[in-house]
Amino acid sequence: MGRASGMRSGKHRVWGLHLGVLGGLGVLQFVLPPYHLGVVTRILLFSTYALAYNLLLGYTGLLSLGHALYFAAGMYGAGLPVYYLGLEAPQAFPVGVLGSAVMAALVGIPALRTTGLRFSIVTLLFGQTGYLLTLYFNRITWADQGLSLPLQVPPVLRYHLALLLFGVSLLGSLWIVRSPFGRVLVGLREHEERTHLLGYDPFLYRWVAHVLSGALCGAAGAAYALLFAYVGNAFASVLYSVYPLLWVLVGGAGTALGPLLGVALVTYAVEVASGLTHAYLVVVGAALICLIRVFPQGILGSLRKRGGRWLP
Amino acid sequence: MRPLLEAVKVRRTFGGLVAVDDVDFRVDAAEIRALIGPNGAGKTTLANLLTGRLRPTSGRVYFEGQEITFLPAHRRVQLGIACTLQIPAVLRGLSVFENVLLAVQRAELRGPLGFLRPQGETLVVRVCEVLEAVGLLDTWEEPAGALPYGHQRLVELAMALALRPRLLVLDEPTQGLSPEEIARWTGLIRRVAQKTTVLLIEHNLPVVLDLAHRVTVMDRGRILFEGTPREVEEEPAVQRAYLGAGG
Amino acid sequence: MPSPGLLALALLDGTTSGLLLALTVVGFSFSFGILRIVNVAHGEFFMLGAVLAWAVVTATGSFPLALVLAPAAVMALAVAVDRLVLRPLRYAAQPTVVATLGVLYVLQQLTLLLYGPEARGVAAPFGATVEFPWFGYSGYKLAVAGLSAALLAGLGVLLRRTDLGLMMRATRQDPEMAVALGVPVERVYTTAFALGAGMAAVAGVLVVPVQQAHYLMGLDVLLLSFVVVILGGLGSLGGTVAASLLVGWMDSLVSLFFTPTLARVFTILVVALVLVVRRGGPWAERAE
Repeated sequence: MGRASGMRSGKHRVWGLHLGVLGGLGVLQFVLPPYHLGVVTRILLFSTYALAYNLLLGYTGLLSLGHALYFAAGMYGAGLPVYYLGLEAPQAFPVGVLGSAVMAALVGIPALRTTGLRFSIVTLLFGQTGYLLTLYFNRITWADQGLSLPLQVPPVLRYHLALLLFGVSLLGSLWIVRSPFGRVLVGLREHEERTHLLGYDPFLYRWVAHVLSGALCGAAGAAYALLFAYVGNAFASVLYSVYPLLWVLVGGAGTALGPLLGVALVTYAVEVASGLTHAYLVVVGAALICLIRVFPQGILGSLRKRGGRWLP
Repeated sequence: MRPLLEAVKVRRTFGGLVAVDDVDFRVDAAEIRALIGPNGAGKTTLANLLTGRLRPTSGRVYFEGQEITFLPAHRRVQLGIACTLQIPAVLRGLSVFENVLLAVQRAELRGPLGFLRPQGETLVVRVCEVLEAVGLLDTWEEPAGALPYGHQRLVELAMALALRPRLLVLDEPTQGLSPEEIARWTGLIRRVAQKTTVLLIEHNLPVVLDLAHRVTVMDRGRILFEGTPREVEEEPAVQRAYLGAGG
Repeated sequence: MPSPGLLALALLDGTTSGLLLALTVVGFSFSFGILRIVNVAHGEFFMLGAVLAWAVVTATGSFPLALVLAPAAVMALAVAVDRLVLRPLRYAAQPTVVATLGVLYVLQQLTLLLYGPEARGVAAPFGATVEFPWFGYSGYKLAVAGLSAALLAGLGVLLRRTDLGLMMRATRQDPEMAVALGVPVERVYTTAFALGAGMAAVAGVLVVPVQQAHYLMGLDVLLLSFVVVILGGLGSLGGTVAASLLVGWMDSLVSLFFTPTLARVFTILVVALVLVVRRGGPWAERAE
């Protein structure tokens, strides 16, 4: 059937584009001055976080306001064992990922009984609970001062590891959203009842997506803690639940490269703004308002509408 | 013979309103059954109790002898009950192809691992088969939401067929179709009915009389009459309650 | 076990903070009930009320003047937010959450820029202590409780007895029907939004002598707004007051036994679960 191959077109273009982007990021390390190498390392880690968030917002259609909980769970899950038990970084990393996956699994059970606005509010409340708990266990977490971990990662290795994590996450999430499983998630986003009536359990699929998203957030958080040797509860605050929303909205929800683009733009905008004023978050606020009014689909989302329909 | 589907004294109320009033209803395997009645007779509510979109207030529902009264809709689909809705429900932003693919993969893929593999050639071929059957192969690339209303119904039908159902529940399936499309649709349903039992909620009487083996007439939440199309045409009570309303 | 005197004090204090809370969040409840939006920036109106009160009192030395000027300024701001942000988005549920999140950061950060990170208070306009059998209680706090109660009662009268109130209630019940009946729905939205913001600002003014103004104080209010609205049902004045009193009492009683942080965690979790368990009802999906 000749048509069948047409129905699967764009495949090579898609993988090519993403491998190209990863290759470009690999070359970047030779051109960047040391300061910006550190910034881009952060961008890669936050992009991983944003990818995880996008899995839920962009593909499953769930707007969470509590994802800092999972980023922080990964961070504390990896960081505390290093600090208190002397665990090595390679062993601590999976502990962080596992911690956030378990957290996402547990929170998901009640939270995913709701959708839409109620889901946003329930996750906000759970996220805030997590933040308050880091304060409550101040003696362990040293919440606001943060903990410095006894680790030292050379900047170039740091960059490589961050790029590795981002690359694996990007290709992995691309694979997930293009798989039959990902199609069910998109189905739930587009029309929950229809998808339910095709024999898919909405709760089950959302829950699995939520756990995947939480685990990936945790991976980003754990990597951040280990690579930058720092754990602090600022990363559990509402702001860090709002950031992924902003990143994904800037880049384009439901696009594979949107998170990276969004994080890069926002990070450098904040860099510039914080050079001008200590109230740099005003930029974040203004960006949110403008975006939702001008670019409701994000930059890549709007691009895709103008003829780039093959963009995943 | 054991019926394919059986509802025993099902009742559904909304607040004080009794939409379905202790109805006994059975559908045998391999028949085309039509469910007719004036607006508000409880046809759609009854269908929803069978497909799992609603739970009955009381009563029981059996499918192939197994009780399914409290089974969620997706479990019933896995048992073989597929449906299309009165207001066509398609994934508006996705292409017709993607819509049907979502249904095809449900029927064709097995186990969690199957759901992580990228789409295979067999799935694509199956999508084409189903689209061909409903006559939508030429519009596979269009976003489903951009199609005319009647064609969205056909997309829904394609999705339901892709599930390889044992029972197909269709709510107002010919609304919005042209006479030629209805003729084509009728032929399709006849072919489908060789393997699948069809329950049809339909307002278009000529279609019902032409297609159905048996007809059930509902009025005010109860079953008024049940018989062959000819018996229905001749039954005075039906004439009064339903057919007579117009002429 | 705390002494009866301590318990009574906790109850009285809980009542005061409950009434003040009701005044603060009634606007949030209006936004949800009438405009059908979740205004995440609502706490900032409260914060601005407090900060502006400090500014006015510092400049003029008059607390009553602050009680008039600060809410007026905040109401004007609320009208602007409605015109420039909410209306262009046609009050759609999820986009307005994102946009008001933006408003939250803009207001909060501009305050940080202009007012600074310090917490500043003003002296209470009067300092008398009212003697009860077991303890003395600040006369100012009693006045705050009284004024809050009076304003809430006034709001109740406005809703029940005036044309504006009738239109607000009609819009809350069924906006489409209200439009069909000739209610100028957009004007009702703006009025309800500004009125709610003004009430929060009044609460902000009243709180400065007790609690000090700080640019982050709006965030706490936001969380409590969710708590109250979820417990009390949306847009209903009675429900808001009842839930606020409950929260006030709970907070001050639980704080006798546990640390405030743990008490807050407990409250939030209860509310989250209420939201999960209570399907349908006022928090059912709508206007998505």
